[in-house]
Amino acid sequence: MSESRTIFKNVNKPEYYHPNCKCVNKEQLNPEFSVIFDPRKMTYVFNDVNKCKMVRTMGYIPEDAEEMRSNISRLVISGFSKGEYKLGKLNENGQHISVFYNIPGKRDCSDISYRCIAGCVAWPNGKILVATPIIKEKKQ
Amino acid sequence: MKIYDTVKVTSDAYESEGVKKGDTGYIVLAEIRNNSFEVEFEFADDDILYQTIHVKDLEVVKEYPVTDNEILCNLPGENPNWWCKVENGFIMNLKGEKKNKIAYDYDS
Repeated sequence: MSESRTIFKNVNKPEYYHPNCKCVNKEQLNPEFSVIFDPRKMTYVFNDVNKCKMVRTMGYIPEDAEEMRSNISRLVISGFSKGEYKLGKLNENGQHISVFYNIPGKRDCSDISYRCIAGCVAWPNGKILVATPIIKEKKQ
Repeated sequence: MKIYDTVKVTSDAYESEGVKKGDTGYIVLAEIRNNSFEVEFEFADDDILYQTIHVKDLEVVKEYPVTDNEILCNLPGENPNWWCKVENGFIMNLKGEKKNKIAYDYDS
């Protein structure tokens, strides 16, 4: 279906935001993103057998939980802003997204950068809820 | 039953979504929507799946210690009116209000 367009001459073209016009106003959206990341999620990572094993292979220990949370929060915002994410399910809880990021290892693994994924849910007004903070990406 | 609890699926109604009866996961979002929790399942090869499961199709395998304040921090808008716990067959919020009238009949 084609859109009807009104073409104005320069001498009588209206200002923007006038009533009944067919102008299309595209705003540059630049929302401020914020991450909702419950500290208990990192505690859970270190308490779960499989997840703890995974982060330990990257050189992290439970004492690093808060530092990891801070880093991952920053990396999620950065990754999301750059479009480094994949859309997942859209359901009543929100739009699920997998955000990709690189996180450096620690201790014996400090010279290695790990490609990881954060399972998140995009909420309104620029809020990103971190549901699963760290999943090491499978090597292909 | 609440956020971070490890739960087991007791129904085969989710097989088409990739979740089988008997699969275990953990509740990853605090709020209950449409009488359902969002559960994260981790399968072999580190595959992660999120699935909304009705509370009647879940049983708690392992409780995780979480305070009401910690649950509140995870609720949308930190609003205590959100349904977020299941105790003794009742869906409840942090104010102690019950959603269903009859225990274990979540649609009452």
